[in-house]
Amino acid sequence: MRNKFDEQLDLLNIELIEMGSMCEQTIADAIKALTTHNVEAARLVMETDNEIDDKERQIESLCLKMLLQQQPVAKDLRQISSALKMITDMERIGDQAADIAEIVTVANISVENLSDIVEMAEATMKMVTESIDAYVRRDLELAKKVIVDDDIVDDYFNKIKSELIELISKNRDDGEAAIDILMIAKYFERIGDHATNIAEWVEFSITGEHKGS
Amino acid sequence: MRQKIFKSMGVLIAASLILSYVLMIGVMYQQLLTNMEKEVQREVTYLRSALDIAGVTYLENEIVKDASNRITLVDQDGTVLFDSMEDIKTLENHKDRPEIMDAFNKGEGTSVRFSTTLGQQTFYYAMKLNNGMIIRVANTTDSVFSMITDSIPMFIILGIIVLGIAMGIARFQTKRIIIPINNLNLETPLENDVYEELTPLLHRIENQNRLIEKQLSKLNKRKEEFNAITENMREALIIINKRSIVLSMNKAATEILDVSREEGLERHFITISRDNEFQTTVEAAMSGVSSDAIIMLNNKYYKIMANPVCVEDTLNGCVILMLDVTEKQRAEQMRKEFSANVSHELKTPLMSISGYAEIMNNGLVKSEDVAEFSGRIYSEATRLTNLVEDIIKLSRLDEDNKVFEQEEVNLLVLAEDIKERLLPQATKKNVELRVLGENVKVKGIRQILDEMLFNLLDNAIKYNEDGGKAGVSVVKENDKVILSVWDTGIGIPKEHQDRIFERFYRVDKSHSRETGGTGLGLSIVKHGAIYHKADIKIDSEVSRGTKIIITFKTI
Repeated sequence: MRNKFDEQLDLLNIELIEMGSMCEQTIADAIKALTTHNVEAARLVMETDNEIDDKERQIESLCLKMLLQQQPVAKDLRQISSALKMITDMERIGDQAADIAEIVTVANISVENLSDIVEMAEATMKMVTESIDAYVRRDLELAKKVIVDDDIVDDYFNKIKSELIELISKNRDDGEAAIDILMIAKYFERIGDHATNIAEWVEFSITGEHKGS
Repeated sequence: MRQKIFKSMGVLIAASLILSYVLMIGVMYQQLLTNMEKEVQREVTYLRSALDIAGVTYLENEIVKDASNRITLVDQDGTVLFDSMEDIKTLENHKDRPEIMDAFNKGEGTSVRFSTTLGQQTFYYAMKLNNGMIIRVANTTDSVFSMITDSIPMFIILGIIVLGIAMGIARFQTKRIIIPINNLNLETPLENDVYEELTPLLHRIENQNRLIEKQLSKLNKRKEEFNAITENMREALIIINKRSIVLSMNKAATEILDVSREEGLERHFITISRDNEFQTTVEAAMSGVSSDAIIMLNNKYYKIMANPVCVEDTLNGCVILMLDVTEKQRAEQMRKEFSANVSHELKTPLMSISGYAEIMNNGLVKSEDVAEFSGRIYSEATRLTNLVEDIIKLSRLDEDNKVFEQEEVNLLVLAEDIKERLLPQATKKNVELRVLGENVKVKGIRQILDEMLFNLLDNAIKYNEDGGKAGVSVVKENDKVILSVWDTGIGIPKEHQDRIFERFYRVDKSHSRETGGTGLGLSIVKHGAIYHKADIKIDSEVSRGTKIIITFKTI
C-alpha cells in the first residue's frame, strides 16, 4: 500500500527534477542569447524565470504541507528540508540567467574575442547539469565533483577580470562593454556558487552532513 | 477448521450431558416410585392382617402413630375413623375417593394425586378389611419436576466440571486431527500420507501444480525470447506505466540515456531523461496521442517515438522507442549541401554562357571577336557537360544497383591504357608518367575502375609542378591488390585530407576554375572504391607530393 506521504515524496522528487531541468534549459538559452545575440532566446530566458518562480512557490507549499501534516523524521525530513533549500538556489539560478539575458538584450556585446566567457558559461552549465544529475541519481561522488569544480569557474572569472582590465587600459572606448561582460561573468560565477550549494544539499540529503554548516 | 471442529465437539458434549441428565432423572424417578409403591402396598397388607387380628384398637399403637406414612381407616359409609396425621374431625367423607371406591368394589385400589402448589405427589393404596372397613396408606414424595429443579444446581456444577474436562480432551483431539492437514506438503501432494478423504483434493492439487509448472516454463520461455529480442536490438525500448513510472528499459536504452537500470527503473520517467523534447513527447503519449520527435543526446540524433498503450479504451501507459538517426541526419545534411552546391556549380557556367550569348545577340561583338566569344561559350558548355556527366556517374554509383557487368580487369593494362590517354596533358604540363607493377586482375566493373584511375592520374598531372613526375603502381600482396597513384606535386595540407572526398570540396577554392575540374572527381573515386569494397587511403605532404592507395580484396 502506498500511503499519501510516499506519494507526496515522489511528487516532490519529480517537481524538483522538473525545476532543475528548467534551470538547465534557461542557462542553455542564456548562453545561446549571449553567443548568438539571439533576442528570442533572451526573451525565453525571462519567461522561464517566471515559470521557475512559480515552481518554487509550488514546491515550497508542498514541502510545508508535508512538514505540517506528516511530521516527517530522519531521512524524509532531510529530503524535505534540503528540497526547501535547493529550490531557493534554483530560483536564484533562474534570476541570474534572466539578468544575463537582460544585459544581452540591452547592451551591444561581442564575445567573439572573448572565448573565455563562452568556456566559463559552458563550465557553469556543466556544473548545474551535474548538480541536478547528482540529485536525480543520488550520486554522492558527482555531488562532490560539482563542489570541487566550482574552483574552475572561479578561476575563469579571475582570468576574465584581468583580461578586461587589460582591454580597458588599451582602449577606453570599450569600457562599457567590458563592464557588461564583467557583470555577465559575475552572474555565471554566482550560478556556479548556487550549483555548488545544490550539490551540498544533495550531499546533505544523502549523508545527513552539510559541508556549509 | 480447528475452531469449527472444536465448536461442534462442544455442542455435542453439551447436548449429550443434558440428554443424559434428563434420561437419568426419568429412570431414577421411575425406580423411586416403584419402590415406594411396593413399600406402601407391603405396609397396607401388614396393617390389614394386624387389624383383622387385633381389631381397630391396633391403631392406638405407638408404632402406627410414629409411622412415616399416613395411615387412614375409613368406615363402610366413608367416614374417616382414624388418621395418623390429621384430625379426623376436619376430614370429610372419603367415599368418593377413587382408591376407596375401588377398595369397596374390588377389595383394593390405588391412586396418585398431584399437588402442583407443593410440587409433590401422593400415592394412595387402600384395602378392604374383613369387617368391611377400608385401611389406606398414603405416601407423599416429591414430583419429578421438583426433583429436577432441586438437582439443577448440582447438575450445573457437575456439568461444568465434565464440560471442562471434555473440552480439554476435545482441544487435544482437534489438534491431532488438524496437524496432518497443516503439515501437508503441497509441492508434492501425492507423497502425503493423510486421510483418505483428502486424496481427491490432493490429486487435484497435483494436477494444478503440474499445470502451473507448465505454464510457468512457457511464460519463462516467452520472457526469454522477449528479452533476447529487446536486449539485442539497437533501438532503445522503454515501457512506462500509467503513473509515469518506468517499468522496463532494454540495454540500448540504458546506453543511449546513460542511466543504469537501478537508477531508472521504478522511477518517474523524468529521472531517465530531462530533455525537453523527450518530456513533451512522452507526455503527449501519456495523454493518448502517438507522437515523435528528434532529440539530440551526447552529440547524436535520436528519433523518439512514443505510443500510448490502451487496454479497452483506458490508457495503461506508453511504449517509447528511440532510434539512432545520426547517420540519416548527416546524410540529409549532405544531400542538402549537395543540392545547394550542384545548383551553384550548374549556375556559374550557365550564367557565363547566357552572358556571352546576350552580348553577341545584342550585336555588341565585333566580328573578329566572335571566335573568342563562341570559344568561351563552347568551353563553358563543355564544363557544364562534364559536370552533368559526373553527377550522373555519381548518382549511378549512389543507387548501388547491380546493372553493371562484373568482369576480370587487369589493372596494369588498364593503367597503361589510361597513361596513353593522358599523355597529351602530361606533356603539356611537362610531367613524366610511369606505370609499374605486376599483371594483376581484380574482379570489378571496367567502366568504374577506368573512371577511378583516370580521375586519380588526371589529378596527379593537374596538381603537379612543372617537370614533376606522376605514376601508377600495381602490387599484389597476399590476398590483396594494392593500386597506388602518386605524384610529386603540390600535396594536400593535413586539415583538408579528411574532406577531399566530399562532393564539390576544393582545397584551393580560388584556382578551381583554372584546372577545369568539376569538384566531383575524388568523390567518384571514393564511391567507386566503396562499390568495389576497396579501402582508400591518402598519404600526402605539402609540396612533396600525394599518394593515394586503394586496396582491393582479391576474389
